[in-house]
Amino acid sequence: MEKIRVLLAKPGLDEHTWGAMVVAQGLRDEGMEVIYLEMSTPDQIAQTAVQEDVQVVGLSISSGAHPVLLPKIVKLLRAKGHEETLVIAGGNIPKQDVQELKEAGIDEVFGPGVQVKQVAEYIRNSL
Amino acid sequence: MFKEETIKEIRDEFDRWHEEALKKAEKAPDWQDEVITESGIPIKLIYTPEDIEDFDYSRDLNFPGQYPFTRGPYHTMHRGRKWTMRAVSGIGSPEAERERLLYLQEAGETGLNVILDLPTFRGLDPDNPLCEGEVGRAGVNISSYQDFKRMFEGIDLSKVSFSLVAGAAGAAVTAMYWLLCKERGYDMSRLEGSTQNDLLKDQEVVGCACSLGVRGSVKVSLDLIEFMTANLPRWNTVTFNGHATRDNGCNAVQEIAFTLANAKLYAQELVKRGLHIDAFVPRFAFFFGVDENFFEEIAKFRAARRIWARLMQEEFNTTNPRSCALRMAVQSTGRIFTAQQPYINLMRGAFQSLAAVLGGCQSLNTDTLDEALGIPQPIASELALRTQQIVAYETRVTDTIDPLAGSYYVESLTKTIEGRVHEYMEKLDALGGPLEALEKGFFEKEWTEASLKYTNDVMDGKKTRIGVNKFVKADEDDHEFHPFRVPPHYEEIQADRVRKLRQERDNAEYEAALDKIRDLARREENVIPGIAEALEADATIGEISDVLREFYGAYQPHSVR
Repeated sequence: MEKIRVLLAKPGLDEHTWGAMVVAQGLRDEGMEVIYLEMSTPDQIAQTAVQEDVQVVGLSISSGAHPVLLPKIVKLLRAKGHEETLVIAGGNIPKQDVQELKEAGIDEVFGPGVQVKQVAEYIRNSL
Repeated sequence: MFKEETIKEIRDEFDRWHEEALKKAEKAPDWQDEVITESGIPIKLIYTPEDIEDFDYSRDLNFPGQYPFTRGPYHTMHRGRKWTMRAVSGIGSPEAERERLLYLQEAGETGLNVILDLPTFRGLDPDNPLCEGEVGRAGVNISSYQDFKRMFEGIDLSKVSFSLVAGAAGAAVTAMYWLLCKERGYDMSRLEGSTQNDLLKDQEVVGCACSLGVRGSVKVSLDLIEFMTANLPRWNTVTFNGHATRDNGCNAVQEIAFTLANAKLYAQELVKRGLHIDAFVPRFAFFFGVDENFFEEIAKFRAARRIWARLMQEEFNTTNPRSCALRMAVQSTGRIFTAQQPYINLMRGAFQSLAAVLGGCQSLNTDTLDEALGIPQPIASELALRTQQIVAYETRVTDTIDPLAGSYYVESLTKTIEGRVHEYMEKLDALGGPLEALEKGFFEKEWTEASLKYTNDVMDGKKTRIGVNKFVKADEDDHEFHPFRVPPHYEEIQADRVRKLRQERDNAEYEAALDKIRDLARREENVIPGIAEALEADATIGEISDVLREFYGAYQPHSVR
């Protein structure tokens, strides 16, 4: 069976890589293929997602810039014709912001403390 | 310290007692056979004189303010002068930050702390499309000398120490401080403060916001140290950053080892530049985290002081006693603060603060209860300061200096940490020093391993994190604490300002100033005076950083791993 391909990106200038690194490693342990990108613009993320033909885009962000950057990324991705790509997010996104992000097209937001296994299961169930 | 017969008596009695204790342990519900700290140190059930058998007071401790400074860098320590109490701050526009600084001073902060935003850290102007959504969010946006002046309007910088955290932009922002203080006619020889300026650590840590290439960063930070040594003699020219090490996943031993190794490298480089060791090392400072393991942290601080003192004297032959005295700023490690049940973070901050004080810190920054949710909101900062004030004025722990000295546990732990730090530093020496080690991928490997282990331990429940894997609340309504939202309008304000600045300045003067920086860089001279001149000509942080990147490269982020 072909491996699920995931692009794990840190959008913008955010430097908090710890969480992203743990998720990247964890998803690899779950048998997925993970491409990891730091300090990337929404354009670069959408571009890479298409180039690498991923099924999942995971966005890790703790800089507070999520209200601006995340919806933009979804928009760019869909504009490139990638309607089916799962877009998930994590970091220290406050609970209060989740609804707005979902309305902007983010499929799921994972809060701090979530087990990577849960993220993997969600991905498998959603694809 | 103890007679041989006494030790033997104690050991014999210990053997008898221990056997009994192990029997009782069979029925003890919380018993663990093995207890090992995060840094891998096994902790015994009990410590006795046997554990510090060859302890020598004069050699291992001596008195505070005296080599090897184990008990503290100053004679009277906190009883003579309390540590500087700082609260983390960095928000929005210069005016927003100014307001916050005034509020914090009201709340009792005795030293200012200013953290710059991500665009500034990355050397980008607020109108750069790369900065969309980021301006003023995780710190204050300072894009020009004019911004700096706005931030400090009405604040007397000669009366308060100023701690600046700005990554590679620290060079420019420190230059701004120097320009403003000169303009205001302050006595430059009395100004107090520090700039983090540990750009090598920023590159080593997997998780720091960098702007320039590796060796270029080191060069710029050395330039800044040299400049400040000459022009801001009471400033700490660098605060070697152990906190970033710790907060991004490493353990106590790694924290001290990697930090002191960087300090050693910087000292060597400055000596190579022709400076005398005793002329600059007294103004080296250190910045450590204070984490959750109460006694390990205290022992860590004491070990750090002793290791540094011996290193300076034995390897660098310092003759100024102040050259051996390690002074430390300490901050909570935010990594143990949870988004779940945020109010409980108050207790975490409290115990960390107590440990830092018992460990002999010179300044302290207690993280706020909303650390995991966003940047601090005013009431959270106030509570963080109150935490320190309770320790300072109510607990009476400052009545005497280094109260834990002589504890069989603490002295034994101090010695063990010292030994393990030495092992690591030798490893780094064998690799050719921290810079070579960085380029060989050493730190990335250390970080990845340590941080993965830490996180997996929490996810597996091996490491307790209340609110996350123990005493979890499914419904947290009564713990609801609303994160602070940085209003988005600062971005436009700052972007407009920088555009206006470019239009209104004398562009000929500005171009000439940038060329001056290029000239200095080309001739491998100190670029700081050039940066200062460019700031006076209203060059922006982005423009200055672009010039620096021409010579020192751009930061290469980690990509496919």
